[in-house]
Amino acid sequence: MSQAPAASIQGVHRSFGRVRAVIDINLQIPRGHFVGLIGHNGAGKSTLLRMMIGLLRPDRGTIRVGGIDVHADPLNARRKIGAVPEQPAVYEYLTAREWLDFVADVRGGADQIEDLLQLLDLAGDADRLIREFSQGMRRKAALAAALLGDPELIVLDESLNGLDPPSSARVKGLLRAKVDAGASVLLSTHVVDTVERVADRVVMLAHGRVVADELASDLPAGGLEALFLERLEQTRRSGPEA
Amino acid sequence: MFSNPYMRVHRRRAAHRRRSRGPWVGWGRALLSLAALGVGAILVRGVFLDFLGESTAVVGQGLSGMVLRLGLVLVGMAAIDMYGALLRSEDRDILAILPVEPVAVVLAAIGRLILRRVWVVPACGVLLVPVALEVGIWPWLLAVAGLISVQVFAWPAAACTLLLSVYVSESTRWAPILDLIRGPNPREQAAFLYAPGIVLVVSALILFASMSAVAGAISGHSSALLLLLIGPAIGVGLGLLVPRLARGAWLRAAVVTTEIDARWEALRDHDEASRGAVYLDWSVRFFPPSWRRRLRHELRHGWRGRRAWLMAAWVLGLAGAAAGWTEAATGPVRALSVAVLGVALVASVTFALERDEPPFLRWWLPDGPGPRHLLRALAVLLWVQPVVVLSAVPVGLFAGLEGFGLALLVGQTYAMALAFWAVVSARLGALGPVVYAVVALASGLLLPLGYGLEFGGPS
Repeated sequence: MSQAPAASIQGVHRSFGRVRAVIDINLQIPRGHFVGLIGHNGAGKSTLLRMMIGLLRPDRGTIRVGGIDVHADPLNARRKIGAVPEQPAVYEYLTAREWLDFVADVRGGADQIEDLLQLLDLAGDADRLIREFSQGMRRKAALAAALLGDPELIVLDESLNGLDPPSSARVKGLLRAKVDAGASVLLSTHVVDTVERVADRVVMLAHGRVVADELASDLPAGGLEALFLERLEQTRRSGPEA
Repeated sequence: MFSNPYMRVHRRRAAHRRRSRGPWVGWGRALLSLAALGVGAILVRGVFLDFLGESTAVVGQGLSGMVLRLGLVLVGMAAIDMYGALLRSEDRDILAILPVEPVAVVLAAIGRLILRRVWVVPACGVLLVPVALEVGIWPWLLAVAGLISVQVFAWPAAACTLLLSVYVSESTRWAPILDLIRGPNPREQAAFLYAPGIVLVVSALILFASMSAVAGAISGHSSALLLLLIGPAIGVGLGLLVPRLARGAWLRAAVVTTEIDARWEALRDHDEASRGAVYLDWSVRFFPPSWRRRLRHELRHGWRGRRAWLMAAWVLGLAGAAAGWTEAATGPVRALSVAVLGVALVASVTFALERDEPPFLRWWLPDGPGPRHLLRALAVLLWVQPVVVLSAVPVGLFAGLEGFGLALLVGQTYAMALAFWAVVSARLGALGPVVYAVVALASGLLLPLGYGLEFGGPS
């Protein structure tokens, strides 16, 4: 494992026609950090995450994961990233175990399959087709796939939505264990509560810009929502293009 | 190929899908396909093979014409299928975020496509069975060999063209040309939109070689058979290029397709309804104001998502006009046979529309008042007009105004009925395509027969 930061975003800018989705973002995610990315709908979270996993190119700026430029060397960068998009993409006509077998064929980690099925409470349903799963179970199947092969950066887009409280607690525990083992997690959500409970650091996006980047330990208890609303209001007053 | 994990996972998924759907759907489809082929062979004999009783030279020319027509279908299918398999496959979202081996993914996608379409050349052979029965097995074998030659070329040619289109879509050198031809689409999409057309153009040489081989060999020039080897020879050469092109193109294609989708999503502009006029937008003014937004929604859905399908109506209309362009009494029946087939094909777009309403449309043109399904059927009726009207033109020229009127009346009635039936069938889930095809086939057979009786032509 190299000593480069888990992710390094430098001067990244992205627009779609007249819409400026992400504006000059600089961000470093060191190894072993759990970063919560929060923002209102349309703040630019999904665009930033798509650029981080190499699905969208920035207009300018660079994104490196584990020291590898995700656009210059997409294949090696993908080996270091485990991602769960907002709509989990899984093969519906496979059982959960077959799905994980396939992902392990591609990215390694076959020896982790049974453990992950147990930890995510999917062992009892591992031989059912994913198309018969609830939305929460699909998310867990997608998450298990993202964790196979011990990626250095785990990117989750609204991935805790739709999980029942016990599942949510299990997933958070599992992610925390991964962070303690040296991986980094970037969790995007618009649910402030979720971030407040699990993240070491909180990054707020509003209208495509980073408006706050704070250590969770520096925030007063329950203060994240107030800070978020305050920053959002400031941005609104100064205009989104400020 | 069998150690390829992407091929393995495909086999597993296919097995689960078969098990989930039960045996009836598979058997139903197989029986329906056989019935369709039987009906198709009868129609093809009546409409396209009336040269079979003629001299050897005429049979050679006629059969080479059939190789051209069926070859065009094979190339067109290969180009559109390959676009779906390489650039817009259903599992691209899954694979794009994994560290997949691009060459293995592309080879598996092509392998899956070949397995899915391996029936097409044999089906063409069945359509040409009257040749074997009435002229002999040798001309039939020649025609089938000509089609195999085209098919063996078409798959790798389509794969190479589509993989190259990824590079073109990102090339600054090609940008000015793409900007010229892209219309309202993102620049990158222009390269993809025109790629199937390029496949047709590059296949012209092979189609010509196959036609010449068939005509030459039937006329006794056995050396013409060598022309049948050109397609496979170039096809193998292009096939060897595929891994090289796939290595760079597949991952880049993930970026380009996400880019295109993101651009569409970003165009969340309510003015689009009046600004970016699409095909047939002008027609909404003839409908009640309360229906216009929903109809515009349907027209945009079809145009943005299934443009090639809609434009096929013009090609099929021209094919209908060409089929009916004769002073012979069979002309109107030939035109109507192609027209009913064309209407059935174009109207089947409703199955795709039922599945894939793009999110940006819901944003632009949220559900308005008006009967949604009626308006979708109306949109379908508008889209099939080129087939009906163009096919009726030669009837008017050769059979007079009365014939033209009757052809239009029959065509429009059929189009209206089928448009509604397509919308209803699309709501029936997995059985929908089957019931749609049964009715389309039955009416497609009966209508020309009845029309032939009315006109006194052979029926």
